[in-house]
Amino acid sequence: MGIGLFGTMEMARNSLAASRTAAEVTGHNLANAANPAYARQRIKVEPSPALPTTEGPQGTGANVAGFEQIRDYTLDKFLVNEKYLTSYYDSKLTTLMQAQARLGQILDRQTVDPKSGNGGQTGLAERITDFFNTFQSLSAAPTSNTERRLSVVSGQELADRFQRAHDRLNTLRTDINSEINNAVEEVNRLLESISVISQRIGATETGETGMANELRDTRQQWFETLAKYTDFTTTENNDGQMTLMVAGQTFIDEDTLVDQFQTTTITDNPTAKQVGMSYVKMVNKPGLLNVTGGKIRGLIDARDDTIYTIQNEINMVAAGLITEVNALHATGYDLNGANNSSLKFFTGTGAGDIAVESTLINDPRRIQASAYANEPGDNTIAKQIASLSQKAVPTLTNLTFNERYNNAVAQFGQSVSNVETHLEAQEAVERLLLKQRDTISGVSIDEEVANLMIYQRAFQASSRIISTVDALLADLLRLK
Amino acid sequence: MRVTANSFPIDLRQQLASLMKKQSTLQMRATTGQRIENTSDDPRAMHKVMGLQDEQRKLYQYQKNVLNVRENVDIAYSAIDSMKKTFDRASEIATLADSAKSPETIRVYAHEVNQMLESAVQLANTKHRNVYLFAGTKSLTQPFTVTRDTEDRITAVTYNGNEKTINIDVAENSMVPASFTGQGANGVLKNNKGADIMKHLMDLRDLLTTATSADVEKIKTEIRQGLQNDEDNFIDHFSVIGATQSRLDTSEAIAKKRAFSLEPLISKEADVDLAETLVRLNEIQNAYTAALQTGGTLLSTSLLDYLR
Repeated sequence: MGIGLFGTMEMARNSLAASRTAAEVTGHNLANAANPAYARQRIKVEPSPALPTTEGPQGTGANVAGFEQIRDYTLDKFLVNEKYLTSYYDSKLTTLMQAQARLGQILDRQTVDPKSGNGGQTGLAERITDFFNTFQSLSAAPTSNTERRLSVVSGQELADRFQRAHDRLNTLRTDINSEINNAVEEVNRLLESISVISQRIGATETGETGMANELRDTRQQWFETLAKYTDFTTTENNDGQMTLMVAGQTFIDEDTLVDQFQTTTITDNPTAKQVGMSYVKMVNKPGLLNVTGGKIRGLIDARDDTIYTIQNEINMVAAGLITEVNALHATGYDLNGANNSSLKFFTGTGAGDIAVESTLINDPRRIQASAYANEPGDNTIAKQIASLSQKAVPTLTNLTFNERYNNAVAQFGQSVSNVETHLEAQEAVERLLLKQRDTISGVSIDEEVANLMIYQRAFQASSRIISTVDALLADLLRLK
Repeated sequence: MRVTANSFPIDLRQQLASLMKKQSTLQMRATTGQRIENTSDDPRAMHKVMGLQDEQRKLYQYQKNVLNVRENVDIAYSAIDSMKKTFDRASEIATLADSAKSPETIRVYAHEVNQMLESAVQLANTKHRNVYLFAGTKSLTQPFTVTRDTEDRITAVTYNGNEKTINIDVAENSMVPASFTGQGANGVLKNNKGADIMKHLMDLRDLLTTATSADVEKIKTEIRQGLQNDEDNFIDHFSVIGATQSRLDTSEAIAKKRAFSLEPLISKEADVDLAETLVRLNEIQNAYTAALQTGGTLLSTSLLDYLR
């Protein structure tokens, strides 16, 4: 005894439902075709239980067993790891590019430098040379008020460039603090969202009613967003509950948010580069959180290493210049034949506060360019100051001012260039992984449309079975 | 490998972005003529260019120093040359004033020598750009002041300058003297080898005024020798100035040549090979057009176009 006409009708009805559901899933896939975070879905169809008959078990059609998400979770984790590396280099490069612009050492060969007649640069390097050159000119005309005025003006320009470079880099470092604050706020918002969505995933998947596919898609998207800010690891227990850790510290424990990020300023024996700078800690634990990837680390590294180094180098050059010029100036005599050993040429102690002594700005005759009293035509001190341009300065590891500054700029440029190279390589890796994931989880419109045709034909065939069985039943009824 | 709906757009977007970036870089290079602008473009090259430009600026400064020194030397030469012309006439008068001429005739020469003395003092106090040329390093002090008698004749000339001169850099570790002293070992008007033109002119004038035979004899024996020393001193200074001018010319030529020779080195590091850049830009533009065309064709076609 088989399943009979009504059984066949029921089988065709189930088949219609399966084809319709498959078409619906295809529609869902097509709707998300442009969503890069979406992982395509398939319906799982399984044969209905066979009916035992005298001729043996007879098939009763097929049923929809559930929905399946085509996703490679290992690849997802790789992608998260690569994203925080990419974000690390990206934020570092963006910040360093800003620092480079603020440093202002740009080569412009089209603009003719009136002082040298050649194409020039617009940064500190040529201001340092120009400053010493004006003292060369002063040494050729030590009594000239014009040359004295030019020396003062050149000193002011140099001091202004030092201050501007220092202030701009300082402002950038302070701006980075604000960016870290913003990043921390975003991390906390994401941690909270991830915790909430993980709990919903747990609730949805309890009782084995199937995977919470869309929720998992969204959580993966948030993981990838979080990876832009910080590195982290996740684990899932047997119940599907997720634990998220950053730098070995737990922030989400089995779907529950247990801690958050907080910015802090180090006050306990900070080093010079840490003074007034923002770092990250946990809300519920003391000590700094050693984030090693993502935007936050990129910002901290750019600020504390490369930018601080160039700022410090500029400061050292300025400090050396102040000391060396002032030491010579203190021994000289002005146009009135007077020596004032406490009269400095530059005031201040570094790039942040260097300035030309106001007495000299008001009266350039007070520049102490002569080595002897009442010998205004003597140029000994002016020449010695001019010669500083070639002096191997002990505080600058026996390099000249220009050499030390040029080295610092080149080293800075090399750092920027290295980060640029790393970022390009990293972006290539990330693109490759994204492509691999897209290959597995992405929606192919052609594929979906081809599947749709199969489902349509299956639906049509099932309908034909119903109409055939219906005709058979009608024939049976006409037998009376 | 499955190719999905996002594969083409993602690849195309990435390829277009990459080509745009390359076009932008090449466009900038073609318009500026520079291969590097920022340090990060090529740190090694930038470092080299900065060093070379620093050297260029220093060389340019040396050229300016040469101009300054040359100006001083030329003015000094002109003043000394004028003094020499004055001196030549005095020397001529010293020769003319012999015992064959009457005292009255000789006294006439005395007036002329007195005027020469006035001119010599004036020239010795030559100023250029508010600086006394023959005052040594006391260049703001009038080097020669005079004492006059009741007839307003100069009876004494006092030197108020010093014996120091200044040197000016005209190249690395190379200096030239850029000032003069009126008196001293190398004084223009008085030196340690017997030259003292002011004294000799005053003595000549006074002897010509009294014009006794003893005075005439003294002119012949003492004053002429003194004037000979003065002439030697002028000639010494002319040769020193000539040598300095020659050295200045050489220094200037070397500085110019060196600065000029640095330019190709800077260009090699910083400038772009325009032909290569334009060819490369053309290639990238073609690739960009091809990417747009093929991308547009592929994106606009799907299985849907072939289904009824």
